[in-house]
Amino acid sequence: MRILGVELRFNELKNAGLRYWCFVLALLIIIGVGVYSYYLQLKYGLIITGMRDIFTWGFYIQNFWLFVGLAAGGLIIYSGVNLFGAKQFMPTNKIAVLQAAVCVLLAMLFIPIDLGNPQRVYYFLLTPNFDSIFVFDAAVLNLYFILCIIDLFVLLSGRATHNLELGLTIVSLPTAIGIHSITAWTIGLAKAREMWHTALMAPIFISSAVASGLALLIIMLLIIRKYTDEYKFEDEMFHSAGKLLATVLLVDLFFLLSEILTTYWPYSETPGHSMRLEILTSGRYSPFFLSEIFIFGILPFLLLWYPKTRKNITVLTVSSIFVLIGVFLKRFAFLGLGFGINPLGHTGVYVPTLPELAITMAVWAIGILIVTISIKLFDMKTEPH
Amino acid sequence: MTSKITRRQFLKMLGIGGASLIGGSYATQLRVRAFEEVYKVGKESVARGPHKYAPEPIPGTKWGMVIDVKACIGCRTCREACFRENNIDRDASFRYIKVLQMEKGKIEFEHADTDYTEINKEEYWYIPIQCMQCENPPCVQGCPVTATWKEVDGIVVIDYWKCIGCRYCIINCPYWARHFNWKEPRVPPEEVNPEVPIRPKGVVEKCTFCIHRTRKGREPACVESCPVRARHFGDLNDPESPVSKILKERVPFRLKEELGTNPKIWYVG
Repeated sequence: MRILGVELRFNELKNAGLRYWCFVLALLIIIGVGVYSYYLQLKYGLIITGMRDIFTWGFYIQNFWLFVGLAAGGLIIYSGVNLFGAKQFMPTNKIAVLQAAVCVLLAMLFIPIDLGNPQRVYYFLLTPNFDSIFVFDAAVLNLYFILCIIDLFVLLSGRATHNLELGLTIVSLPTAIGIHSITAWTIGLAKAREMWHTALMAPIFISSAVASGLALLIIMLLIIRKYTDEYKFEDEMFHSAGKLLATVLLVDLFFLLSEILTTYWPYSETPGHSMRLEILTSGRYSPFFLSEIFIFGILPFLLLWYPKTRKNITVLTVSSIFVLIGVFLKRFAFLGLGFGINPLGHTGVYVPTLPELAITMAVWAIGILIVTISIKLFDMKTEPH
Repeated sequence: MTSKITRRQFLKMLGIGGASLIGGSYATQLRVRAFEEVYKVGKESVARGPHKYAPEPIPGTKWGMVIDVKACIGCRTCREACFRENNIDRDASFRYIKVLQMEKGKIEFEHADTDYTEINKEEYWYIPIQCMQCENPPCVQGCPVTATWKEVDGIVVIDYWKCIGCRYCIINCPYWARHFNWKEPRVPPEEVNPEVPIRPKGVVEKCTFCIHRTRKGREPACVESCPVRARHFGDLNDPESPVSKILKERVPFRLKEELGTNPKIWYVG
């Protein structure tokens, strides 16, 4: 069956095995639990989350940042194909764009979930305040989502020509950079929070975004290659993806080093800064932060840097998973920097609650469900044209 | 040859015309209503309509406060008076006013104590902190939906029936003056102050310089309740007001001056 030139392969869905449908069912159950938890949240308010007065943003925003980041990786690979002729990534085109679209959708879902009064969200359109970077963040995320859908439609309907794809890339790549920068600026422009108020915020968001996005793409492609018969990806492609990941990790670690140096160097150190970073380096959240740097940062970098280990697919998989965990922890570290000590010097503690986790899991499940269905429903393979 | 319009065509045109007229006027009406809600109601004064609670601003006034930290004994009477005056959730972990106890000779927020039990100790000094009603308020600039703004008399207010609860203003406030209602506030009926609306859940609230009192010529609850008269309130535009006089006579300082927020609470020591 074809709609607007997009082939819908219902046969593939019909022929999908029991294992496939059990997986879908499991996802639906997770979504159901999440929807119920969200109902409770609407009824009782955000009191059911672990967020409180001092720690005002929590797990939802951490996930929002993570998914904004994940939305990049795919598109940057796709741009590499079109702009720089990185032909080895050509077969991943459609999946990469799908990843971008789904991730940005999930990121946007976390915003109304985090709001105290989501039913008033239309005021974003009615009385936007253009002094607030938040408005631009909402605008650019929506724009990016629309661009991803257009990209995906062009690719799936077979309308893609080299020039059209090039044109779309030239529009959507700056938008991809835009969603990270502007999301980073929502905290980077807040002069009230010392550790957030750094010009490095946007670059460091972009570098860890690209790292996590790439890692997710690698994991997703490996899973698809393993569990389906029709998708074949060459080992060489994974090797170059691994190399790219190592480079991005290096940049990311460098930014982190720069920030830590600025905070701790004797004649650069200010008590407000070092006190807040100490929560991460030796205080309450140090297990997360130190493991993020060493186990989930430097270790995967070394593994991916040496050709011998990089070319081992198992090592590549483990490294990619580590990078993902590392970036997830890093997003939490950012929360800790801003909220661990408030502007008046009070200490805040945050532990996510069960309903909060259930809602987050449901959003993740929605994303996995969309990908699971899409892989069967659409032909995601790309032949060179 | 003249072209004739058949009855059928005429009726059709009439129908289309009528429909567009009704549709158009309805759209206009909607737009007018939206305009009223947004501009007249939203920008100039604290939201009217079902949630009207603030009197009109007194023309030509600019409210300010001076707190004498030398006189302050850290008794926190102001904090509790404010708590009752403003119908703050009885289960809330926050108060609009925070009183910090600091070692003499030091100004270090991070090492200050708010949960001290003994007041008026020789080795400490006390500083009450609340919304500074900044002239250049970062919270207002950060609000994505214009649900908070600065009134003509300088008081920063929030439309509780417009706030989406994103808590971005809390992040942008350098004085930690803003607080979120994580649940439906609970205030016993016999303790409710009818002059102040009880906030719905999921919105941000903060000190309003007791807008319901000060615009009627009364002092804010914190000023009125202070047992040592450490707080002074008045019109900054009036050279004879208590705040103007004190600012002329004594050496004041303001918190986080370097951020350029231009707060309207001065401290004198």
